Amino acid sequence: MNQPTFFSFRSLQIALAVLACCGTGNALAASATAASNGTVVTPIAVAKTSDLAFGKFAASATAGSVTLSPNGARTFTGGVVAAGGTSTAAKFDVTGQAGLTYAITLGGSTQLTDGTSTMAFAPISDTSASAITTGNVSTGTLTGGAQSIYVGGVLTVGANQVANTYTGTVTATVDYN
Amino acid sequence: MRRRAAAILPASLAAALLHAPFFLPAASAQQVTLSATRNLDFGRFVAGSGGAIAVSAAGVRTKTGGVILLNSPSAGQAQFTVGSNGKAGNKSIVITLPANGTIRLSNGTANMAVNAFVDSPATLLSIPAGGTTLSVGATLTVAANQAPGTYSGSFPLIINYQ
Repeated sequence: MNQPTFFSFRSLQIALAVLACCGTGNALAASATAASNGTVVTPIAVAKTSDLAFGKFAASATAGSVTLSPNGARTFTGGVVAAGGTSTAAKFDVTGQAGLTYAITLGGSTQLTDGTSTMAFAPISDTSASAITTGNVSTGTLTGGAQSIYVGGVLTVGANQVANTYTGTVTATVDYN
Repeated sequence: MRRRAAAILPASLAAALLHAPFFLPAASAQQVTLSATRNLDFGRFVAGSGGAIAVSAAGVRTKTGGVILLNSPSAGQAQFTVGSNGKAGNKSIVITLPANGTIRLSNGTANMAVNAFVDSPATLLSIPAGGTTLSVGATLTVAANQAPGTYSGSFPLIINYQ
């Protein structure tokens, strides 16, 4: 005699319960993943590669000035005349993370001195060694990871300024910005 | 005597589910969902003599040691959206953060450990109907002269109903 198989109502109830609680997945917990990141940047550094030299010039009874452009070219005003010697702008080489920008702050002497007499000094700077005769650069960009700062300046020569060698310092400070 | 079994057709099975809500466990009416909406970003910095960078759950970045922080507008905490499928949940949530020593950021060769995960709010008593935001911070350990580069990684956040 055939024994037909059939579902009893009780087992159907249990089957429905199992489907209901598990059919939509585990709804009692959830997780998600967040990304995280940080960027280590190459430190910025600056090194001097050339000193600033106004060269030789003669003072007179008339006061005047010597202007040194970032490209090393000299111009004179008043009673000051060239007297040979080599003039060069100061050069600072900056290195760091390629593409980042940085702030430039110049400092150092506000006058050159021979130990007794002084001449007022004010810097002129850029990052292209141009023929400018005024102005200073305040930011730069590390294209390829490097850039140079060129510093000239204006020297105020007094009437009958004492003939001697006058010295001072110019400093360049760089910071990522 | 003969018995015949009635065939259970798919249609009648679906009907049985709809008409038997008392078989559905109560918890599945309160589903919890979680999705990441913002990265944990430690920003840009110079390694210097090494140290650590902490990003608080509020997104405030501080450093200890010789690390130099650089201007980083994108730096901040990770954020996750916790939801309850539109229904206000009344069960409190257990939040599980990664354990110390399990998460690192890598640049492909070097890596930095991310530890001391913190979250805000620290405890979540219920999920409002519109969902809520979980903020996560942590601390990154930077070695002296850590190799320059972009370091990345990821971390999981797990939430459970109590």
